[in-house]
Amino acid sequence: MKQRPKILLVDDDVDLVKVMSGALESKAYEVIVAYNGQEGLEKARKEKPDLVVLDILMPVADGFTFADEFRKDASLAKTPVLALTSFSESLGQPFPFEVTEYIVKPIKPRDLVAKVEEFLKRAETS
Amino acid sequence: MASKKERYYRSLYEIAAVVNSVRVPQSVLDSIVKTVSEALEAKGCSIMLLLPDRKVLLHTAAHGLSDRYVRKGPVSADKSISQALVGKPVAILDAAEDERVQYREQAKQEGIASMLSAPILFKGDVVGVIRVYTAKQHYFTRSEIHFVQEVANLGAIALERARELEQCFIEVDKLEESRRQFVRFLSVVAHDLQSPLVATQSILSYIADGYTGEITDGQKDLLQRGTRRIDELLMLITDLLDVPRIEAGQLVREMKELSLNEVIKQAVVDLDKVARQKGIELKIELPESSPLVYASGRRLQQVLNNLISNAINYTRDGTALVRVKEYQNEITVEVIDTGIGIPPDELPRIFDDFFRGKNAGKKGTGLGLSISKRIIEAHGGKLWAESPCPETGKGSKFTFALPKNGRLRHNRG
Repeated sequence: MKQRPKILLVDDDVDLVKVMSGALESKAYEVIVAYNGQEGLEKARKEKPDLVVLDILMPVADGFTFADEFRKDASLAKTPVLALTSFSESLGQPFPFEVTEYIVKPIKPRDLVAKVEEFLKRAETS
Repeated sequence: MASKKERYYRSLYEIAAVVNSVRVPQSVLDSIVKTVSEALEAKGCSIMLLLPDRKVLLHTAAHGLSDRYVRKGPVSADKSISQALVGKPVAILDAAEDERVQYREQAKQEGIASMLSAPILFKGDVVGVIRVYTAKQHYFTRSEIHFVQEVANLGAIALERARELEQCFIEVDKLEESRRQFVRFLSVVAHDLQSPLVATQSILSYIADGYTGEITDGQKDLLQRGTRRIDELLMLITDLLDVPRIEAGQLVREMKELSLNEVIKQAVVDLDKVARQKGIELKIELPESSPLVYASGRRLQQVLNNLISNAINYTRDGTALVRVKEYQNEITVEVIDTGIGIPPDELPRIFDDFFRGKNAGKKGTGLGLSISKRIIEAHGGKLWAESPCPETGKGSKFTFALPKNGRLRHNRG
């Protein structure tokens, strides 16, 4: 693993972003933040993160918008994506995109860090 | 060159013809015009309906007339049929010469000599005209006129029925649209109600987990209490939003063939830890045939979760058993506990929305069982409860039955 793995956090909720990035930074991850799908896509292309934490329902360009383009980029095709969703929101709409893992909100920042660690390790060994 | 107005009417005529062809029982009108032609040994017969502006008629059904004649254009409602439009039959001896006839040239080309028009009346209003055409000049007799008028009256009934049917379709469409809107509305509400709570949950656990510095046990306790209260609210929101979602048939889209045994194993794995902590043994009995069900896995999981959690919650010590039985036409899943059971006066009400028994703990919204029942019913099944369990004489037994249908097969091995 790299010295400081880069995590891209795409979520429109500033409060959630604050605590999620705080928890990730405490583990010495480099955290890049985007507040909508479009911004997330631009930062993903530029920064080439090691892992993406993606909120699916966002008001501007949502997770679907992000997903449409993200995997098309060969350099990002294998990047793990952890999708944040809530049970009632996601009902009945399958996400048209290869998500590494779904995380149902609410999530404890500590549990998110554990998930990120787990999937970074998996990505490294595969 | 056709005037604007004519072109306008022509378009209207074309559109109306298409619209009408969708839902008016054309076969009924077709058979009327055919029957009348044959009965009167006439060249042909047609039914024309008044458009809502009451100035233009359009051919809705015709027999014995060329397509070109039928489609010659809109028929204005002021000449040959003016009398018919006030409710009286009109006979025209020489259609090619009579000035009341709007399309004289076309009538001549079509070989029409005489015409008889009778009003189609409904509740005193003329809604259209039935017209009989002859190839030779013909004086219509009183009995012929009477016959055509009678047919017109029958036609009116058929048309009214068609209109009622059409109205029904429109109402159904409206209802479906409002349901769709409601589900969309719910998604927005779900998101907007949950987001602040979800964020608050994360903030509280961020503090409780010491990311902002050491906290005392007392502070930690309060943070956990806050978290629990928000959990309750989130659970309530999820449950409240679930009800209309299930009723709006959303879960049909999630249905696919699933191994019932696998769904049950998963539910039991999830709850085994909780059961152990309470000193309750959680057992399963599954058929070797491993039946497949056509269902929403997530929703079945939700039902099993609800039933097994209840079994655990209402049992102090003892066992909870999940048993699957396969019958010829259905598969049943039983959740049996040895707990405190359900008082007889509460048993008929446990599936009601918001019903909470006097033995219910602090947790819960009173919607769990009513939602489970809706889910099972949305799968074409049934969910019921017995207390005490008839076999053991204690606790309670919840059973749901899912139908075996064309989409159910056996998965051997």
